[in-house]
Amino acid sequence: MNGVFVAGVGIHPFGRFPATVSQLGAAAAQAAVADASVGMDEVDMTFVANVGGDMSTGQMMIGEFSAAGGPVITVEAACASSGSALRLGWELIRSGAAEVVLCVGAEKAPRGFIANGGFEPWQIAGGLGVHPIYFGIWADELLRETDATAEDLAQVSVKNHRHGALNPNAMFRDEVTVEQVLASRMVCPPLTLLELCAPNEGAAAAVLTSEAVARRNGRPLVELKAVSIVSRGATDWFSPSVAGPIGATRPSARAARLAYETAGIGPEDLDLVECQDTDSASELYAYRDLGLCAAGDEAKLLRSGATALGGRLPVNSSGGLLSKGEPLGASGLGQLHELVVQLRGEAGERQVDRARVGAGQVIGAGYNASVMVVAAAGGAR
Amino acid sequence: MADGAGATAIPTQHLFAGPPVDGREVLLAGSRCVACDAADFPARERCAVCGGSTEAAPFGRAGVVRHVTAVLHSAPGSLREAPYVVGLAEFADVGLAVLGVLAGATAVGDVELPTTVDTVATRLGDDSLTYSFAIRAGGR
Repeated sequence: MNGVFVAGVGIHPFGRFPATVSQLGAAAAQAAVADASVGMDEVDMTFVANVGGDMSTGQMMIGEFSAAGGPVITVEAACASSGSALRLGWELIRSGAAEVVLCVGAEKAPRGFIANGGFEPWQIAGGLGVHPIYFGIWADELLRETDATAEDLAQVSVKNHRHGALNPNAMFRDEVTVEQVLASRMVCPPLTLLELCAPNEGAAAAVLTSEAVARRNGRPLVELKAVSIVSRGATDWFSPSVAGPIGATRPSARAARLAYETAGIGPEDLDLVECQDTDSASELYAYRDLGLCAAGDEAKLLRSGATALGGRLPVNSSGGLLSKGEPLGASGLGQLHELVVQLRGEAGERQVDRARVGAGQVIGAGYNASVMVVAAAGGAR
Repeated sequence: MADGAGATAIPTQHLFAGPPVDGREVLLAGSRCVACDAADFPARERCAVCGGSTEAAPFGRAGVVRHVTAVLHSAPGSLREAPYVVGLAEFADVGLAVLGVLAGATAVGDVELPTTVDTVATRLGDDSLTYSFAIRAGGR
């Protein structure tokens, strides 16, 4: 098997813009290709991750800046779409079938709750067809089954907004206080507005290559050690299903185990994590799913300061979705952008000290989850 | 079917194992796999876990609600009048945890958890019936 390297990354800020989804994606893709020092005529395959687009989203996007004529495939897997694009690219490089793969994630999500979430008409009519209900139920479970408190949920938002204030690509760049978070509008109790991410617009891209191509631009080498994807398992429950087994499991725990196994890396080796903080409780569940702490110790890990910048294992140094907003198809590639910038030592004010190994996690409606592991050349210490 | 369910604007008959009457108890139409025993709701012809054939598994008595949230503003397309409380009820006899609206509750603080619920039919808007969870007197 060949090593898979991230030779270049690019991003278009997350927020609200007049540009089309094609223009957003093209901006990130061009930046990634330039960062990798490759030409579009060298790109063997392009995967475009997008959820809400029209026909031929990928072709129209790449057509904004290149007529090199190579294959373009659009992939969709809700919030895990980027993970799917990356997995496909990783497979092609690893097997030797390709030497250069461009992965782009881009989205222009409408304001407010995500429509077309896979809900049946009876669920929508009956008031059960909105995703935050699921997040509210899980958050309530976390507060009742562990020692996590409403203030802990608020502290996740405070931490990620503090990180996001240092990220010029984030949508919400103001720091917030615990009091502000708790006083913001209640959406789905116990979750308040500032504890839920806002679907928005943006794009991110990465160029995956062989080691030989990655060495060309003289940048610090970053290896994509693993990208796992899972779909529904027998004991899982996730939106948009109205019913699941009692004591259901979460798909991202399984995705994490697979990624660690492939990478030969464990949670104890990680220096930083980007996880899907769709809401504050989802970040705490990610601590559990990724094996960062034992089940029930999520709030303790947060309170220790370990997951804040300056701590032992910063989580969402980018500001996470709570600060960046969530352009669905782009969120996973946005995570990879942050991980690569950190492992290269180019994260400026939000640089994580001695960042060598990182992981990213996304989870999406319809039972999709993906976990990736990246390492600076030389890998785990 | 009774109470106009056959004329609903949005098809909901498949949710019920008996004739739904607004405000009355009614069992829900779950299914159970004859091969692997996995249950589901609404009922499926083929098991979503193993693809096996299924049999009817009505349920709806003595669900235990341990976790709740609420919807404070109705989403587009919803015929439920907000605010309302949503709970996850565990029906141990079929092995299913099901989301549903707790009848009569408008704030999570109204509900003492855990609580025991039974499924009832609820009229929505003009012509639609759906299900809700009715909290048992005494709650448990």
